[in-house]
Amino acid sequence: MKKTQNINIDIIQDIASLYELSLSIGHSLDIQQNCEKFFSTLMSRKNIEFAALWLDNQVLNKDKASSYSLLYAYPQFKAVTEHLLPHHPITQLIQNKKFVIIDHLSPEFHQIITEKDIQEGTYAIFNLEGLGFLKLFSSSPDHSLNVADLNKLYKVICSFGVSIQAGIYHRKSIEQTKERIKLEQQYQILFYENPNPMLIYDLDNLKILAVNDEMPTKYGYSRDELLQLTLRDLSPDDHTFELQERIKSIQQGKDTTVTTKHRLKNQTIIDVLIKGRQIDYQGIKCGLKLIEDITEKKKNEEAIRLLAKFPDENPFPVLRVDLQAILVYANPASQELLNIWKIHVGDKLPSKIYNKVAHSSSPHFKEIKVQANDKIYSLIFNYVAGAMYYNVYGSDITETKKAERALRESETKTRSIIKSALDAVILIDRDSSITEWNDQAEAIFGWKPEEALGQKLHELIIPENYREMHIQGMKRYLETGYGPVLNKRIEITAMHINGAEFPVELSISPIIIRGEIFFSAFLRDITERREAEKEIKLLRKWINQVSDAVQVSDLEGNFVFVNEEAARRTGYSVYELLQMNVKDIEQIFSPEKAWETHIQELQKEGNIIIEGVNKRRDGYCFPVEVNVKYIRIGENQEFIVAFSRDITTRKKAEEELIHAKLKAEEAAQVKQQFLSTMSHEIRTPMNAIIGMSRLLEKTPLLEKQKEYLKAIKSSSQNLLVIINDILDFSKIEAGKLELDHIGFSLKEITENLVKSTKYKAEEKGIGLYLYIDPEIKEILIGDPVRLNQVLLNLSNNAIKFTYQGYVKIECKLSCTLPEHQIISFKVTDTGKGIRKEKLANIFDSFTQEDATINRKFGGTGLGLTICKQLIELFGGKIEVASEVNHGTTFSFTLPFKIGNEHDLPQSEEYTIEESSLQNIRVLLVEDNEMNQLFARTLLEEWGTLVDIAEDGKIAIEKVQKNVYDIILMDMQLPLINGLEATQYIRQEINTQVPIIALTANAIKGDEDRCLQAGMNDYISKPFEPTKLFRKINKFIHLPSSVLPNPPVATQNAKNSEIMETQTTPDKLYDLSKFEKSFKNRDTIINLIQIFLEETPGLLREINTNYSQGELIQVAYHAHTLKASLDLLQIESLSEDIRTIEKLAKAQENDETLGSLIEKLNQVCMTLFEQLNQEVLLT
Amino acid sequence: MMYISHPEISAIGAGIEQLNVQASDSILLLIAEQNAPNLDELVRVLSEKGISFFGGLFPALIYGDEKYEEGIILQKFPVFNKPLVIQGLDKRDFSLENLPQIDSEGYQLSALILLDGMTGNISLFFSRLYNHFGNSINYLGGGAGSLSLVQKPCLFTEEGVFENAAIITLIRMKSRLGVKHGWQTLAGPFLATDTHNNILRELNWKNAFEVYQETIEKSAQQTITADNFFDISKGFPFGIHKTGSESIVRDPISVNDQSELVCVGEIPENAALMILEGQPENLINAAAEATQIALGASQPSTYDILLFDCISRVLFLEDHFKEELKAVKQELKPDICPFGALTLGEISSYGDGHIEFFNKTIVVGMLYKETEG
Repeated sequence: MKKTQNINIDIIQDIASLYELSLSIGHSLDIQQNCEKFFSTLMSRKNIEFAALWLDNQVLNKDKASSYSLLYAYPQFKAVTEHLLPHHPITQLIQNKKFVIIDHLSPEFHQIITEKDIQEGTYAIFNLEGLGFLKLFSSSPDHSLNVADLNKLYKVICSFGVSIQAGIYHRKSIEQTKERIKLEQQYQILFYENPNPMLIYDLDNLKILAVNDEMPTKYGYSRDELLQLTLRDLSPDDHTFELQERIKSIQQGKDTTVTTKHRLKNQTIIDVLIKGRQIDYQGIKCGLKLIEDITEKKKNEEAIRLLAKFPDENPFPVLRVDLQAILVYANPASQELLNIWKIHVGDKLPSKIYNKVAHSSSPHFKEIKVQANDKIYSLIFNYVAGAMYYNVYGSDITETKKAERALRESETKTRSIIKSALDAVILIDRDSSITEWNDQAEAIFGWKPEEALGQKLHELIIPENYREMHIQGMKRYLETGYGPVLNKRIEITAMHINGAEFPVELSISPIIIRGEIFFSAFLRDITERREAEKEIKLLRKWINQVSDAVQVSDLEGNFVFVNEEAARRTGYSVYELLQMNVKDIEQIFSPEKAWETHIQELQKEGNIIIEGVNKRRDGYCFPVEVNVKYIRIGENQEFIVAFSRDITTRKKAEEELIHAKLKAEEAAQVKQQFLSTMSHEIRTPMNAIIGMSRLLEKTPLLEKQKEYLKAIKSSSQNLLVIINDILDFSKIEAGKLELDHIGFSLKEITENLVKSTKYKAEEKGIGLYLYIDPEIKEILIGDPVRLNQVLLNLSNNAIKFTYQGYVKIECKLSCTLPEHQIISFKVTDTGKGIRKEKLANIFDSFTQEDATINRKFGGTGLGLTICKQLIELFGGKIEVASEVNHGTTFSFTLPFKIGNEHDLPQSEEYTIEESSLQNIRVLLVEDNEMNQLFARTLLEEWGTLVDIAEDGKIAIEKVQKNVYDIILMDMQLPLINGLEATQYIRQEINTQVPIIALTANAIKGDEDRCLQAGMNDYISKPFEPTKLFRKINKFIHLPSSVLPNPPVATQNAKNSEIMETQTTPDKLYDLSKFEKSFKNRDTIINLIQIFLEETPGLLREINTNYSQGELIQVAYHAHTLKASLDLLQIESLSEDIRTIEKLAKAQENDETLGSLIEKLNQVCMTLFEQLNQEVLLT
Repeated sequence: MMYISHPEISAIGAGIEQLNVQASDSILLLIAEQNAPNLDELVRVLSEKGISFFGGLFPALIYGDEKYEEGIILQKFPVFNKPLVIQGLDKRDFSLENLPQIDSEGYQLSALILLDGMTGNISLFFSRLYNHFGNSINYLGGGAGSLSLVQKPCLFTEEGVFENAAIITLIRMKSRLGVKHGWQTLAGPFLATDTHNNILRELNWKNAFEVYQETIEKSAQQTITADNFFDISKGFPFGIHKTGSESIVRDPISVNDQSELVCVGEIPENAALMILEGQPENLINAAAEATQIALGASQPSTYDILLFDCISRVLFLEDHFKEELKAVKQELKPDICPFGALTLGEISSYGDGHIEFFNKTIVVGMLYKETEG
């Protein structure tokens, strides 16, 4: 019951809400206020956040296309768009609908957002037919904009629309009223302040109702007097009828414009132009008159009319043409022209005539000439400014033109001859006065024609010295007719305007013009010619003085010019040479066709340098370098110009240089050989040192001895690195290093690199990071060993010079090509950095940043050089960037071919026991005793039967006598070396026993030589025992075995590496260390068995020695036992065995030692039980 | 934030010293009307410090889960603008021209509004304010003034002391709001057929007081006269219908000589009014609910809780009012100390909509820095 009541209350509340909303409509006729009130009420009652009213623009202007403008938005803050384009999606959405609801999930939602910050929510759009639309928005999830609610609201919204429409009409009517008031004000101004008289009169009785200020002024009446008059009072009596007619027209609503007459107060009659119309004035139909006094205008018009007749009387053509080219007037004298043009007044002027005027650059005044039959007219078009037409004045110029043309033609001919003359042409009369002076005369003498004409020739251009001669010459000719210089070319000195004297060539001819004698003078400045002649003389002198031989010949090789040097050098005279041919002197042209080939090349190149051999008159030959030029003068003059230099001295020097170079190369070869030999010489004893120290290590040693041994090992390892560096360097220098192209995993080699260097970084407490781009292919093809060498060198350097921070190795893919990947490598450290000035030559040989570094950090200084050279060999370039105290980055980019599984070197699997070498018969050919010992020990430990030959000869003998499974052959041996011995064994003894070269010769090419000699494989000293094991194993064709540890370590478990201490709780021992090292469980069991066999004996020794007080012996055995215990990670005895050793060594026989030995016995008992169990379980 | 129980001006000054105020901060001072310091003097002294501040005088304060009728609460806020005073709200032509433009920054800000609870045109003011900032900003605040319901200057900033005014401060903090009252419909709806601002003249075309009196007597069996009006009417406020929300409460506080009902806040003409009744536990639950709404599902690591709670809820709940504050406090992390004022009318935008002026309602604002949201 209660619920029903609540529902009822809700309904009633809804109704009440609508009631409130309806009543909030039409709050004001002002649209803004109306909207403000309605919208704020709407929002206050509904969960609506935004409302906007959009107006169809057609409401205001029916002619407009249907589009919408924002009329009111609440809050205004949100509205960002004020106009919608026609056909906006909203228009489509609301068409023929009461309203639409558009949720943010519907596709149209985003099209209709015209507000800012709208994301989720609902729009409701009401179609206000004929007005526009109302847009509501709510982000409330309560869905206050649902169909039911909006249906309820619909009527209210429609009412709101009606109220807005009322507001719009209200606004319109206010605007119209305002407009009308404005118009009326404007009319009043037009009437009262019009400069012409105006009046308003009653159309019924013609009484004047209003006059403007100009009326009294014009008519002489006062304003009050005028208002007492009717229109009739203003019209002269004879115009009354006309007035009545006019009034009738106006009464009918027609506007009139007439000219008539008015009478002023003083009875004067004036001509007026009247414009009349009907108006509504104070509710009465009235007439409005605008009056213009045209009396003066009429008088003027008459005068003008008379004046206009004047052109008719003109005997020459007078025309008037408007701007459309229409002939508006033509006087009678123009008739002939009009006939020719075939036009009449009112027609267009021929366009070819008019266009000349219209398109003229000065269209305001233009003269054009017109041919009419046999007459020529000049027509002057004169534009009458403001009148928009041309007056055209014509005149007959036929005769004038004819005369002008004749004169011009004759003058033009003469002038053009004189003007274009290359010589100065001067005409003088009998008094020597100049009557003609052409451009060239001006150019030569500097006088302008206006300055020269009329002047005496001798005063102007003849130097004072010669003047008298000229005057006398002229005089004689005129008197006697004798003129020795006339009609001849003579050279005289002339004078320039600036007074300078210069040579001219002159010829003078007398001419008679119209009975008068004149002289024409042709003058030419010959200064340049004179200069040129002088120059040629100089040139000839100079050519004769140069140290090169200059020879000019024609294309056949006949000399046409030679200088004195050419003559001197060959021993011929210049004259003799000019009779000779190039081939007579130059030996290289002796072969047939040599000269022709030479000429062809010259014609193509223009200029070549050749080395030749010249032959002297006495037969002696000498080397020359000749710069030869091909010269073409004019059409068919072709010459060969040769500048030849004796190069006897230079040739000698060159020969010496070549000789020196050969010497140097030889020296380099020697150096190469030296380095290679030296490395061999060092490697051999090194092999022994390293090998022997490895063996020595396995024997019982005192602590002190161990320390010394460690030093020997590390020193020899360092030395080996240095040797390898030098060797690599010299190999690269000699271009003898070749890169491998095998498949490898970049990931694998870099990870191994990090594994092997990590401990160094850890020791220094710095980080060592590796990044491998996952895009890099698993298998690439290249030289992994050399790449590793580079990266290892750079990383070792980086670690060496870094004290805090990290070292980072990055391999990033630069790009992938169809068959290649380009990888950029970067080794970055945060170390001490390199000084800027040192960066430039950091890669130079034997260079470290400074000498102190060498002392502090060691190294040959070759590392970076080798890196650089290796990278260059790979086809890359190493770069370094560094900042002192911030670190260094070495980077380089290398291309690698992409490989696959098959490209990987076949990994050698070993699946059988190391005892596989048991009883193998080995012949070791080795002359070095130390090496013999090392190799023999190693081989015997593997169970082989070793025989030794000290040289190649013995080796051959032994092979002939005995049967061996394998021969290990040194290469450098006394008497017969390894290669020769091998060849002999293969060829003479004819056995296929496997021979492995065992040599310190590590130069590339050695391997090939070994194989060529018939060896099966190659191993360089000092060798890794495992490597040797593997090689031997490979050749004895036994099933391969487990890769053993170096046999010394496997045979005797006493030797141990540094152990991690970790024990399984219930067992005394921990095999994890073993399990890591050996995949094969059997090996581990073997090791345990060895331990079980040996340890009881050791324990017995310790006990016996202790009881007998031989503490040194106790210490010795304890030491041996210690290693075994450590290997099995027997934690419980780790401390004790050390204490026992220490105490015994110090000869401290006290209770502690005794009780410790007791404990050792007990623990070992348990241990043996446990280990036996372990063996049994397997 | 701090509460000073004996608000001598010197103590306030000293308190402010401790707040370490930055140039971009403004200090909110909520002052309880009992033993309040002289506001003019306070403004003069604080102005000399060259700091920005704003505040109001309220019937009482909230600090933690306690109500204080004496003392002052100081809290500094980082602000977008200097507190802006809108004066002359008693006339319709007040101007909002000085409001700043916030553009895209709105979502980082919250508008804190203190206004004279006894002034007119509050709806118009909100309407114009909403027109300017829209729903891009959250609004919260309360009406200042005296419990005696005698209008007097009750708002202040560094520019002076004001009445018939509002102070708008845009705080550089985000906010979430909870608004609830817990009152329920007793009778209605009645049409407010004749009103003038906060004077209700007619209900259903009859004298408003007579209709009210009749309804209370009939529905609640209580007799209400002009003399006991306030005592009884505090339990029977009006509610204006709003779709989908609790109705907006209007508090009738007295009957004037023309038997018209005088309310706190405007009654729009033609509004549909319900007469409401309250149960203490509903009201207390409503406070807890409002707090939950403000806190939302996920809360920032640290936040301020600002309360504007109607003084008439205190009058109605009497001793139970303590429980209301406890209910709020219980919803919060233990280290959060809510604070605020007991007001003459509460202001909120319900979170993201139109601004409303409420009576008998609690507005809970959770203010937090953006990075912590």
